[in-house]
Amino acid sequence: MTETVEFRPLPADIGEHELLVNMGPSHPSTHGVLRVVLRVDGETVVDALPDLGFLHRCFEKLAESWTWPQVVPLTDRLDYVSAMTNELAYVIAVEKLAGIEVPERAQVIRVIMAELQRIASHLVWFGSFANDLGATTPFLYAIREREHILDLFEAAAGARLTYSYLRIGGVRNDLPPGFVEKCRDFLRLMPKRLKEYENLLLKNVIFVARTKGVGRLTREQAIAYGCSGPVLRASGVDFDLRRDEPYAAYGRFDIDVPVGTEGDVYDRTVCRFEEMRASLKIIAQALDALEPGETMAKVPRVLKPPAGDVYSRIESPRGEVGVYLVSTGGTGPYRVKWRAPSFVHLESLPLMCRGHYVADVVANIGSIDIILGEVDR
Amino acid sequence: MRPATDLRSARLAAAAVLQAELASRVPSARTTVRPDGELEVRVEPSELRQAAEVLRTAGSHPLNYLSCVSGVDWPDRGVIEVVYTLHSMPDPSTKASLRSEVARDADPPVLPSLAEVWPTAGFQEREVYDLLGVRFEGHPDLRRILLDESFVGYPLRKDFVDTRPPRRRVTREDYQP
Amino acid sequence: MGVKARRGRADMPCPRLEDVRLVEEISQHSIPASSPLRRVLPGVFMGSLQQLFNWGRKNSLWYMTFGLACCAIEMMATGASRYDLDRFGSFFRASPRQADFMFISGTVNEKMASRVKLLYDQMAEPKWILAMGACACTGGPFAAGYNVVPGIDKVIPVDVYVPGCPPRPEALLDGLLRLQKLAGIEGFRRVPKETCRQDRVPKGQEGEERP
Repeated sequence: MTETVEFRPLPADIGEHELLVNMGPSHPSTHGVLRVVLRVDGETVVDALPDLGFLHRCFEKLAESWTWPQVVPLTDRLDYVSAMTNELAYVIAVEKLAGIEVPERAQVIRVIMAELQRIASHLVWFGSFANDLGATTPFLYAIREREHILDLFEAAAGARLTYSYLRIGGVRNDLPPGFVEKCRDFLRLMPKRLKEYENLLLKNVIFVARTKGVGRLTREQAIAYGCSGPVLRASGVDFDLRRDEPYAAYGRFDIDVPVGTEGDVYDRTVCRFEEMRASLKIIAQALDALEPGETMAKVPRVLKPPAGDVYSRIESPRGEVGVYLVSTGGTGPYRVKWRAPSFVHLESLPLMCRGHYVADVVANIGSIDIILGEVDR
Repeated sequence: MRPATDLRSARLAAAAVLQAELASRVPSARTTVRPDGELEVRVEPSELRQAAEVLRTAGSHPLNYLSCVSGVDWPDRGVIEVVYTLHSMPDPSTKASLRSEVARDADPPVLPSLAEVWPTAGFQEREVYDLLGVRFEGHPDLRRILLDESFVGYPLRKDFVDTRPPRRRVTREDYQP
Repeated sequence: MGVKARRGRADMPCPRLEDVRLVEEISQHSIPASSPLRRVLPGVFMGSLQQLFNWGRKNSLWYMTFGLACCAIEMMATGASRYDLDRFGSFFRASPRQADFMFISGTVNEKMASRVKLLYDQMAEPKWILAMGACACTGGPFAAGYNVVPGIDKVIPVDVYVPGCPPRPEALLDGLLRLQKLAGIEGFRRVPKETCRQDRVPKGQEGEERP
């Protein structure tokens, strides 16, 4: 029998002129299964209440019953658009706990993969964000470029989306022959394409009108609400984990960090755009820094890190991905807590939406760049 | 570019300052400084709010950024531990983890909410309530967040058992709208 | 042997893939090459109205992407630049009312299962379900989770299963082509025998909860 699907949460004090409008979980613009209950007065949003959990897949509970290396493919599927950075967050945390030293070549390969993944993730964001606002063409252009990156990933890791390439102690296999040349070809191709996208979207009058002044987050609000990544930087906070708390081989490279001023949707868009350019620069430096060497440290076959806990964070395309790991000396984690940036950013969604129109809710959700896999875990 | 050793020594120095401040204002807090510069603070639930206020405002780089709220179930010790991982923003020279334990068999286990100290604790404390059953007193909107409202039990507890009946495959003939 | 072309009947069971080959053998609806009529009327096809409808339907199957998780990204990639779904006539429609079939791509959990069912019921007949990915087929890597439904076929009937984690775009296109074959042998009227629930439940078992 069909159970009734109620509107939850139901605010008790809804006014006379107000309406409750349900957005999602099946909605073309919510980037996945997000439900937002909008309290609207005419066209103006009075409050927006996110309702989560439609993709809760019990990652943390499952990780407790698997071994340390077995959790790596599971982390792939959390933030599925940027799987490499998820794996990176987890393996760095385990290596900190177990005291494993990763070889230099593996560190540089990790940087290359993470930055390529950053570009791929921002391309997906760019395409779907433009699609939400009504511009359907940029999506096809962005996916065209992303296919080049996925070709590179497929050559190195064997998969297009969920790789299981980074392992505890290094990477699974060395880069295949021809990878470096193909990567350099991509680096030559991309700046022209980014210019094309800029002309297509960022300078478009309609886009600017829909995004400037919308969803403003002040600097204090951004820090208080735990924002990170492009959302934080657009609000004027000059902070990037790759530069300020370096991990893998990032400490060796020159990293450009775009910082916005207004904290609105337009600034977040420009921040992500410039991040793509900065990533190209980092990949070029990393390719030059590749030295022959080992790609995997000597890790025991059955890994048993000593008892203890660690919180380790990295900069993913969405923001700060943190892993809180607790070990009791066993073959698998005792507790894995995944700090997902999209989950934390959704808390500031009501702040961004209040006082704006319903159409701006779509722009706000798109500008946070949520991926429900990591929101719900 | 900031070398790792530079960050570590900055953190160790900041941790020492915070340790002294906590010792004077929250004397019952047990603090340890880890080798990587993280300050571990353990307090009783009654002192949690006060310790949080001290950490948010003290030192040269106050801990104004709450990164993560994690709940850990320790059935052999009979407690649920909630860990607040804090950093300073934008200069990450201070890192601390504020921990508090509450008896897991209490009905219900209660901790004071830190949502007024760090607003980002709102969703994260709701998640700890949802998955582990710890009630946060003073939380503006304590409801389940990831699981359905009708879900019974707290899955991340170590003694949780999945009692759903097995589902059968549905074919076109016996599908009911 | 005399296999008859199937006409649409209300109680026709779900077509199977084996039936497809038989129907294709006997539905040679173009004029034989040896016939002198061919020189005069080369482009005339003969066939039943049902076959015409099926041909139109299978070559313009509009899908409602029910993108739940990782497979949704691969589905988007299949519909986009390099592997194009539009060349098969398939086009994304956001509303279940306008869609012929649904790609269920991603893990379904208890909270979402009721919504998927609601959307499936809102689709108009004839409708098909393509379960994309290991999670939609059997629960995938998350099958042991306390909140995960082990496969969407526990909630709604599935016609095509495309395994993979995520399946490559080529695999998804293969699944779509099989779905096109299924659509090609569809009956004219496939209306459920009883639409009222009271007729369905056997006497003496009213009020019993189904799992």
